Amino acid sequence: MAFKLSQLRKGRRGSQIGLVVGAFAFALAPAVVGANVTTMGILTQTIIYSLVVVSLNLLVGFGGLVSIGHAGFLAIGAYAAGYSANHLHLALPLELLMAGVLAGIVGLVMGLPSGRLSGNYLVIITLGFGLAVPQIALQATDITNGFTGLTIANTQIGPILMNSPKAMYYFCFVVVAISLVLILLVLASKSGRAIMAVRDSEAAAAAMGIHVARTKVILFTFSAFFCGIAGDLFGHFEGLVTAGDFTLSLSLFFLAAVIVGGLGSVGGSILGALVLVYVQTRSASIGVYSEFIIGGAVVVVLLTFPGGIASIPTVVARWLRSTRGTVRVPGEGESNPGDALTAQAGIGVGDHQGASDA
Amino acid sequence: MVLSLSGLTCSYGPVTAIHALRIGVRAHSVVAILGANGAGKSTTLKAISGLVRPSRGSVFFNGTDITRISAAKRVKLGIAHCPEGRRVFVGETVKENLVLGGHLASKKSIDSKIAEVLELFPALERRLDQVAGSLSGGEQQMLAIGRALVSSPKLLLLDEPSLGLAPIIIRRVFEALVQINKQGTAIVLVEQNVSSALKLASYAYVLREGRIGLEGTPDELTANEQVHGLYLGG
Repeated sequence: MAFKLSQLRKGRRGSQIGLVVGAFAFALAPAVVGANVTTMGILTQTIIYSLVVVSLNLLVGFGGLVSIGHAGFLAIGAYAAGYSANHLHLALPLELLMAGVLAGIVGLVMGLPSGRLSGNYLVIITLGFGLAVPQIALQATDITNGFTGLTIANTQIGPILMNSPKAMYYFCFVVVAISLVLILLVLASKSGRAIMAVRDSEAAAAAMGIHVARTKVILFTFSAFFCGIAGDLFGHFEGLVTAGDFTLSLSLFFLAAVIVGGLGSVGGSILGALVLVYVQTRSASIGVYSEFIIGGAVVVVLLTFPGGIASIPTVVARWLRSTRGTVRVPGEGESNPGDALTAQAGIGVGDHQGASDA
Repeated sequence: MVLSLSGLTCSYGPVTAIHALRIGVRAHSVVAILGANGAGKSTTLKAISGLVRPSRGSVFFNGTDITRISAAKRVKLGIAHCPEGRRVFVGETVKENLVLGGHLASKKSIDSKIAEVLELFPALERRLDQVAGSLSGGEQQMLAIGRALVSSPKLLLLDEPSLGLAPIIIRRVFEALVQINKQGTAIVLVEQNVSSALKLASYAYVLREGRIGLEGTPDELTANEQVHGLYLGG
């Protein structure tokens, strides 16, 4: 049989179509749901959080590494935006790049232990990072303006001023869309396959000539880079960056969105962010109890669809096949990495298949 | 010799897994490494493929000392390791698993090597778009071996390829190994299924607590009372 490398991603065309449809839906959303300030705020927050959740899913779902400190990378990007607006006055594209690079450098340093550590140890390190960043921000008053924070008055590209909620929404939409395309290209490349190979079996990946530790460090850097860009957008969207914005609870919110959306799914991450931002907004009026509502939503989704929202089409297709009495071929059709991952123990930390003897 | 181990010693912390092993593998041959659990068989393969650093001794591949070079460079030189427990990439499709086998190879050679693998294991052809985690144990083993072949190895290291498989599947896998060897690839086979391994191998080593307890041709080992009693159910 003639095999062509170019055939590789044919089997995942369904999810690509889903992403294109989703992009159109987000592009048309202001026209459909109305462009009032509240709605545009929710949509813009969803878009920014989508990039954070995708960046976290790169680590958790695609890489099998758990981080509960991603709000820390968001903070770095947001403070980069604030510092630039108040001191450097960089052009917006340059500022976005700076935010990503700064967060990426911190991600690289954070990722260095990930080559040697995994599981609970790595979780503790990322937890420490997530808790430390707001405290450092409060102390580094020369850069962050301490408790008062940094104000970002204007968002401007050349002569274009994003002074309306709709303009801000479309600005964030374009930046997030470009970022997602870059992420998808990397995931579909040789490096992306190496990342997923390391997640599935470090031993086999190393035997294939993949440098496991290096792959993990690159993945951490890559994830932090895009989270930093989202942080820059977050700063511009909020208009004020303070240490109190980047809590542990926010990091857990992002992790919940990854799980609700589906491990190892870009489209699922966007839907996870959409669902949880919606639930958070609707339950905001009950104050601290809104976190119970979010927790409850996570439990409901996972009990109904253990593979997350991204697994719904697969689950429905399987159900339809079974009701029609079709003999099911295991794994037939669209493959959803989240399915395979959730079928394994835990959320993909370390090797999934037995241990080797000495 | 395509491979020779000279006084190879590997330790995990204070525990020495293999002691001063001397093993030779001729080009185009099949060498079996036998022994009980914990004898050091898997560690020997890992030391050859660079997944474990030896504390003493050397690994020579086609006459070149490769003891200190990385696993990735060893793959480029032509050593492919198929680890124990198959360890296919469960979240990836069969196609993607095969392509990952050629991670360091050129795109052109990947296409032709995968076509060869699909000829060798036709069962994989209709499963190309399935996620590997959904394959049966036998198909996963075929995939693991096929994936290792995509890098066009001169030496194939196989760790327990018959583990957990039904007898009919074991027979198919071993038939494929005969084909692979006929095409010129030398094989180092770690097995607990001694009778199958000795049918395939031209020479075998029996490890005991990390040391070579016995070595010889399959006929010599089969005639040995100890081997017969311990491993061949005599």
